[in-house]
Amino acid sequence: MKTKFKNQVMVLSLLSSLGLAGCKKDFLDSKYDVYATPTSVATDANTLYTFGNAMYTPLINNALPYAFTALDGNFFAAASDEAQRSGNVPVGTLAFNQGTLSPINVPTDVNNYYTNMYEGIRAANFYLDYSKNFEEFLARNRFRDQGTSADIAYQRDRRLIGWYRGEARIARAYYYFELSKRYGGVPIITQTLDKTANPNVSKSSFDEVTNFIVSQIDTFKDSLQVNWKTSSSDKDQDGRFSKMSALALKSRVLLYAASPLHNPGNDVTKWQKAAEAARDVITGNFGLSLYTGGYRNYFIGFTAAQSGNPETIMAVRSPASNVPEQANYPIATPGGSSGIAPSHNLVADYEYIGAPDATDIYKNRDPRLAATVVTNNSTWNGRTIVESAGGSDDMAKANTSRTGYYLKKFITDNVNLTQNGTAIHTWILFRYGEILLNYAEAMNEAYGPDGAPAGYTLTARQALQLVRNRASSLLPAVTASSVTDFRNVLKHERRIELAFEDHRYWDLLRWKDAETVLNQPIKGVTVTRNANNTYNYQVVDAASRTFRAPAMYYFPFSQAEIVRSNGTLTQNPGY
Amino acid sequence: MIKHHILKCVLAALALTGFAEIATAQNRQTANAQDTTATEAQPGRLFDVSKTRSTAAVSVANGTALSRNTSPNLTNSLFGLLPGLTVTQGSGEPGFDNALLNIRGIGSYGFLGGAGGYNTYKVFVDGYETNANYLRSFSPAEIDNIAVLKDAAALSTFGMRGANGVIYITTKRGVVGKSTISFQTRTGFQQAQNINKPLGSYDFANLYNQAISNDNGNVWRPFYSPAQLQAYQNGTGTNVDWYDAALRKRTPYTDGSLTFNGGDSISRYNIVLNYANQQGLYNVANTDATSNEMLKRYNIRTNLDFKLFKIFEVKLDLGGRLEDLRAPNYTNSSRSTSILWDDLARYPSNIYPVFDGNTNNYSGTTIYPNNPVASLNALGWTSSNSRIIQGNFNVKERLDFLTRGLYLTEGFSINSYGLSTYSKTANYARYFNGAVTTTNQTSPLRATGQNAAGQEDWKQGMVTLGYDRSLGDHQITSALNYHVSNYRGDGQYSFAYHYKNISGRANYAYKNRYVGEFGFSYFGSDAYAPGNRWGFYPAVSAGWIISNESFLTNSKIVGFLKLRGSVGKTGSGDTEGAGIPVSGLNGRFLYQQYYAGSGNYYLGDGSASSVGGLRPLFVANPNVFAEQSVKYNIGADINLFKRLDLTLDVYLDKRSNILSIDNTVPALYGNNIVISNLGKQTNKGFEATAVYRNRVGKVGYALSGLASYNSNRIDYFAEVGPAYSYNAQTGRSYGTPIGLISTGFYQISDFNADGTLKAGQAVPQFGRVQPGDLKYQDLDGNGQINNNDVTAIGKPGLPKLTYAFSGRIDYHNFDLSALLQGTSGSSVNILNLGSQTQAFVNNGNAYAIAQGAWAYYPDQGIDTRATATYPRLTTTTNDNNYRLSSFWIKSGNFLKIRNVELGYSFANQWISKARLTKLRLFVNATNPVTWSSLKKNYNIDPETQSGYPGLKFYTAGVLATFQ
Repeated sequence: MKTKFKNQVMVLSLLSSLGLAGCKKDFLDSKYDVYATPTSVATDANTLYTFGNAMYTPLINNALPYAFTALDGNFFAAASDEAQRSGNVPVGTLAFNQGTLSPINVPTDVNNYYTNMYEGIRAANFYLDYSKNFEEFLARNRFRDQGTSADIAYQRDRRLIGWYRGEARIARAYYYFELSKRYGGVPIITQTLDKTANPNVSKSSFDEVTNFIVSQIDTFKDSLQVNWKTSSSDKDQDGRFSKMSALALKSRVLLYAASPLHNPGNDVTKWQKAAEAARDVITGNFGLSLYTGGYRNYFIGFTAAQSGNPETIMAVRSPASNVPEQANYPIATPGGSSGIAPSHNLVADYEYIGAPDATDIYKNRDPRLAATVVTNNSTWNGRTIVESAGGSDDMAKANTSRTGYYLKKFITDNVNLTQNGTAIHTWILFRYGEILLNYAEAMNEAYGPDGAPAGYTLTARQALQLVRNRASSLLPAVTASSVTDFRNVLKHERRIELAFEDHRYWDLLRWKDAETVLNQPIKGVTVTRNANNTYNYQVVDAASRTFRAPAMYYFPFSQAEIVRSNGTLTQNPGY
Repeated sequence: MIKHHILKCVLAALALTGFAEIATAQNRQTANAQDTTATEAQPGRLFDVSKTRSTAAVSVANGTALSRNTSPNLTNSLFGLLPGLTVTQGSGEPGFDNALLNIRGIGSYGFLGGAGGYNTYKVFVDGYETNANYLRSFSPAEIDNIAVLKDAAALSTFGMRGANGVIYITTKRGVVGKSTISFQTRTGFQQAQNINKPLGSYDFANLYNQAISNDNGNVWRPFYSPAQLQAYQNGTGTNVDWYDAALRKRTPYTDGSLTFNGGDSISRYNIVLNYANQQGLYNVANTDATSNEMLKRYNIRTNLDFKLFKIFEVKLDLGGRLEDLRAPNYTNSSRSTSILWDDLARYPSNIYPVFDGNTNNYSGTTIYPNNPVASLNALGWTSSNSRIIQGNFNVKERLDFLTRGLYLTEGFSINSYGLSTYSKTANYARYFNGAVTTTNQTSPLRATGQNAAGQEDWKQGMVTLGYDRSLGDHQITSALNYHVSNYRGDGQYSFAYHYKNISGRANYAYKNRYVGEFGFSYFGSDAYAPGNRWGFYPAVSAGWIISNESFLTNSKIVGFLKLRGSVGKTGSGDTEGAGIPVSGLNGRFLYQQYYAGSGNYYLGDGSASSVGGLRPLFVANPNVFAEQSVKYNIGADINLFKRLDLTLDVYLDKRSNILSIDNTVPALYGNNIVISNLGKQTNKGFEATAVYRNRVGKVGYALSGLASYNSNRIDYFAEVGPAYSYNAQTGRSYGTPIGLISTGFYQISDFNADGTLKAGQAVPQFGRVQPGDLKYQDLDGNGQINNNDVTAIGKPGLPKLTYAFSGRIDYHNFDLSALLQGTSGSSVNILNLGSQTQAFVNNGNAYAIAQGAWAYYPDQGIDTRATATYPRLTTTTNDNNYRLSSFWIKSGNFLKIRNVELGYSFANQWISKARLTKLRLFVNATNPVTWSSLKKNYNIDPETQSGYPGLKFYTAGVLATFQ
């Protein structure tokens, strides 16, 4: 009996010493606290930054600014008449190209965008709640024995967090704009929904969303850093929303609201408001002017994000990467895959700045062509692009460009993909050039090409000319004098100046031009080499396009979202 | 202090038992029954009872049966042996060849069946839990029997580990008597069961010309010139059979085991040494710089039993394994070479020769960067080495001096797993027409050190109080158990898993005719919120042994007849995998709010510096709890004429509280997932086994057949309400393919001159169609073909019916056995097979299936309009044709010969001088023949449809037993 008991104790001691004694009170309390928990968050003042940054992260996709991978891993341009996807056209792009966008055929990227925008909105709403007592939070979680240096850090924290709270309003407004330009009216959520909340918020109209955005900007524009670039102490925070970028957002929002799609009765006061909003950016003493270091350079590397760059209003930065180069270098360049090929429709629109040359159709063109598009017989990736039969980029080869062109804008040349070379990419969210064109368009509609009421220092024509002069002094003078003719000149100028900056598709929608333009085939050229080493270009249809009007002026909400809303969310017309 | 604490625990455990008076027996205590088969013990947790007294649905196979199906992986030896277990062969790749195992089909969402994932069986070895990896590397020589526990009675003590069934293994123990030494080895070769080869260059190019012309608006515009075609035809053009270039026809396989067994009244032992060596199918030498894929495994198991001081019985079991896996360094993140098989399937024959020009440079292009031959020869090799040791220690004290039949056991188990990797890697530049084409550069062979790649340890302890006694007409066998499990790892489950299980069983038989059993588990898991961790899982069952009633005791027909039934509740606390994409947590601790990175944003004026974002990982749900299963089972065990054994079972399994993502939460929430116990599913089916044994003169034979049938239905799925009820998953079997119904091909007459569809036809919304495209049924009649026209178009991938026949005959010293196994009631979606079925898509390949494509080029003499069996070819994405539809759904039914074995045993008088008691030579064929329509029509194996093929083995071996 005694032996047995001893034995038993021995065995159980063994169990116990190996951590197995099940009677240990907290045995079932094992946790996996690799992630932050409410307890850890509550004592970490840095979360005032990290939760704040969460409202910006939807602008980034896999460490690249979102626009670089917006649709099927590449620019959104292939949905419009700017470009055609090479190789197999992915199904997301096809839905736009073939006009088959529908509630039950929403491309994954489009669906993700909806979710990501609301994720950004949720992060902003969450932050506004979370940071309510940030000053007290900052003070509580601070080593007070750090002397004066601690105080400086504390003051900086207070300042930066205070601005974050303003930025949360603007970020939210920005996401609502991105949603409304796609969907028209969307539900406005201004609080963090928890699981028990009734999520069935009904849809606000496009105008209501616009008014919400504008009122948020008007109310909170002064609780923002005015201009990060010119701030001596906080320059390193550039990339966040500022008063300058909030006003630029307002200019774009009001321009969209005044456009035919949203202003069918052509209410001139809407154009006047849009003109005024653009003017407020131009005359806001933000030190803005057009970058003179070259049109191509502006879109390459970190140029646009440098604090000395006077044109940039807000840019999304990213670490070095070669994803856009891998995606868009010609297939014949090791590591390239052709990607989105600019259309001849776009190329043909670049004006001549001299006499056309019959032996080289790309000669004497607006220099922005050579900065935007890789054409045949030009140098790219350290070699001459030869697209004729037997050439290095023979268009008969698999996965070459379908149009005869490759993308150049935003793409860094000579990145050695074979050695995994990379380049910095910067996405320009707002720039002065766009604001000038917004201004010119709104002024033309409100006051005509040459009208300017008191308080407006530039006419539409003058603003346009600033942009054209920067491109080339040789561009032909703009002679259009009627509002209509001048409008067409502006449309053309936007197409050229803002090519591949994710404006074209949305401009075509808001102008209600999509049903005309996006039902034209995408043109390309086939290249033949002449005996004298010149090239002949024959314009051909490279791909067809179908735009289903009027339905496709707005995206469809996914069928799933409609069902989940329990009838609160009404589908856009035509779907 | 610690001792005091322990004492309290023990006392608490004893007090909890309450019925210490009633309790228990253990280990193969067999009841007193007349029938020989019925006196066999039926394995069960806590104690075994005789088959007569068992009220549970359990299938059992003994260790010797397992070695007939040659495979280094135990899961591939389970075909056709265990009714209720669906075994599906996967890849044959050494080390990655786990078969999918499902006990009684699909009870819950999920169709993984392997390690991880929902609906996963659990594995217990000698009473302690292990995992699927441990199961895989068992040698059959270590196993006494393997049981599948299926119903509520068999699973009553498993609590949250029980809902998906348990594979319960008992290892071999020493037998009192003369010492024996057994030696068995077999060696031979293995081959692919099936390889679906693509078309050669000539056929490929001809079809490509068709495809590109189709894309050109049906205007003939060939890509390959007649001269090129002729070159392909006469053999001067590039035409590489990549499978031939990369693979060998057959490669060697060897395994062997050595067993020492014996014992006396004080000590017994069984010691097994085992070795397996499997080479891969690749055509590459084993050198310092290159290696075939291979598996080498060494197992040692020592099971010892001691009796001490009359009251103690001690068991000490040690099972250790070393497994070395080596592969060409062209592997995915889990070190499988499956990516090479993707290339082999996708790379056309004419892309380039193995070597570029006349150089020694490997060919490669941007589109086809990984020359399969180079992937084997020029990248070096990689290896992983795993070590497992399981040690179990049990001590039993007989407390007969307190009350006869009372005993106490304490047990402790450690299970430790470690994985490390070692590689020698190189790289090569890809050339095409003399120029480097990709980002790779030639680099010399370089070794990487031994790197730890994961470890797990698992400690379990238990205390059992048992009582086992016969008193006149009354027999009672019972036990009460306290089990603690502490798992920790940094591999797949990179955190602790803790559970406690207080469970008990009591089996009571009256007059050997009426049996009742009660079992329960009170189970606590760390995955749930405090206060919400424990669940109670009771089960009751009963049996009526009719053959022991007076009116049947003298029957010549009925040797044994028992009816039994059970009902009870079990749980599944297994949220890992589960299709719940909560990274790193494997679905555990969902009650706790966690915050995780939302990605980086970048700020800066001179350069970009990253700043991290933080967001809630999911919406914490404090109410999350284990999935619940209520199981009903009715069965009968019958013996007729002393020759025919029948076992029949019918079951119903009602699941509820299946943990699922609530898909009904709108996206407005902002990407925040909500997980709750939402799902409901019903599963039902039957199992039947018949074994007939006889001997006629010198010929002895046995015939047996078994069938398992499972059918499930999703009762609630939290799916977003589809437009029509016929679109829904809910109400259908889990995994039912939902797609369009294809009704043939568009013909030229369906189109207007401008290429639009003539009026009156439903318009597909997946892009413009042209003649030869697939036509679909417009179910909702709205004039459009879209995703609202989808419905069930086939059956799930897991077969409903699994059946097997086997026979065994012996004559003189010869014996011959065969096992056939087949399935029925499953569908294969061949659209998922990439290049094999989607010709040219994504620069892919073309297979024979594409030769039936719809085409009409009268000038070229091509017209398959009337005979087409495949949509028109295209070189581009085609959202209309390559979309889940009934066109791509094929029957997965098959019948395979799993094994045939012929043996010759030398007569005793010849061998006894060499102290041999048995000497048997045998030849064995495993998986030699497959019958299936999928294979016949498309040359696709119904089980292993792509990737590394399933294997056939042809071996010869010897078994020798010395005494």
